[in-house]
Amino acid sequence: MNMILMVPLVAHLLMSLALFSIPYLTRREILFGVVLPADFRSRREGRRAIRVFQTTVAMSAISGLFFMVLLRSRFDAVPIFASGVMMVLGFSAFVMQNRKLRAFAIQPRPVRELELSTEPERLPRFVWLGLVPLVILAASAFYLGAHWDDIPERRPVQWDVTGQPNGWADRTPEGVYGPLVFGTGMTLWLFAFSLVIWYGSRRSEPLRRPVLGVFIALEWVAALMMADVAMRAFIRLPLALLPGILIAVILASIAYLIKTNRNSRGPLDATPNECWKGGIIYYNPGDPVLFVGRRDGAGFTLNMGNPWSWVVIGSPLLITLTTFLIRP
Amino acid sequence: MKSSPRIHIDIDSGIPATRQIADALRVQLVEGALRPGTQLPSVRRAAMELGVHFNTVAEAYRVLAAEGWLDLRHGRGARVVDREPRAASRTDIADYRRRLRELISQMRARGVPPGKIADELRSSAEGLES
Repeated sequence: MNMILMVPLVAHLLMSLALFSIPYLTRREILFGVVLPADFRSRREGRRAIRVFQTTVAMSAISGLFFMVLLRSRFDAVPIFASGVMMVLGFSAFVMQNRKLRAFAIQPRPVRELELSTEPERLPRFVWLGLVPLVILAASAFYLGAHWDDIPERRPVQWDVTGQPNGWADRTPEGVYGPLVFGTGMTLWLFAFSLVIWYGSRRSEPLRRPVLGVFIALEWVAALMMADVAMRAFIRLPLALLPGILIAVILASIAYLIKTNRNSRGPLDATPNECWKGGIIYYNPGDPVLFVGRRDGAGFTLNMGNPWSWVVIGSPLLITLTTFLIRP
Repeated sequence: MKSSPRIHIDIDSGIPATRQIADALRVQLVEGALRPGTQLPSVRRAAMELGVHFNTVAEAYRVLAAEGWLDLRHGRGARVVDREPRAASRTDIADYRRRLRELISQMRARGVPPGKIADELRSSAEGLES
């Protein structure tokens, strides 16, 4: 199988696997964003909801694969279109099941706890690993500066899925350091974002540490990718390394969520049911928290009732703007 | 490591959150779990953890400051202060007696036997003395 097909196929399969496992990412009492009695999953309605959702995902995933294999050679956009349709159908099925199951919803008692301590909360020790990618980028910049004359006059900085170059940069400060500046922006944004989640969520949220770990892994991927682009004239990372790390992070996250939530016995999510729109969007102006645990189990989501959430949403625009400004 | 005291509030209980926070903190203050000099969490952090508006926590802190339990200084947060016990007036005692009777009636109405109520009152009072 050639690379033109393999990369989008693997991405498509990963996305379908993530979508397919959504009912198992949350603890037993939460299904499609609705808090339900503990035995609901084994009832007829619960089994049916899971079956309908997974059938929709499986059918759209298989149809997507079919179209990719048949039409990829004719239309470049087929993989994006097929995966996009699958995602839209998957989330529509989620929202539809959320609406159906609301009739069975229970509202857990919104009891909240406050620890009367002013001790500053310590970040996990591994958070310092989030600064190493910046060191990698700085070291790359230093190396390039020291070997300026060895850099080719014109070199590739962008490749298609087969590995063929389709974008070039000259030996100018913008062309040489641009990828590193962009990588620094991405890394800093990811690091800042992970800290905002840490400090902007309640201490009782069980996924704070794992999510911080995932963001640090993503930082490493972003920094290594941009260092690889900038340093191609001198060093090449193995082709499978970065996608391999990404796939490992996704699979490990899914496995962790399934394992953790299956045996979870702690207090149930105390956010009011009526503040969850479609089981996905949380809007509660009366709750000052910025990030809450998602009800589909996959990490955190913003409290759209908090005005700062719009600042967080707008922050990636800064990265995009930087890209245009330093484009070689 | 000794764990810090904790308070709980129930948003749906029907009792205003300000009162729940002030009452829960007062229990910790009276029982000595919060000693003079202890710094309370900032209004921002407390509000976030409890899922209530900042003003709700600030108001609860002000109530306790007015009772002489807390020192509130701008930029320094809320600190527990040494409070001299105050002599309750006859009116105060009559008011507490009425509230106790109301509470006991609620407990009886919920099926708690009189002996159990007496035990609970006794152990609560002993907890305050220790």
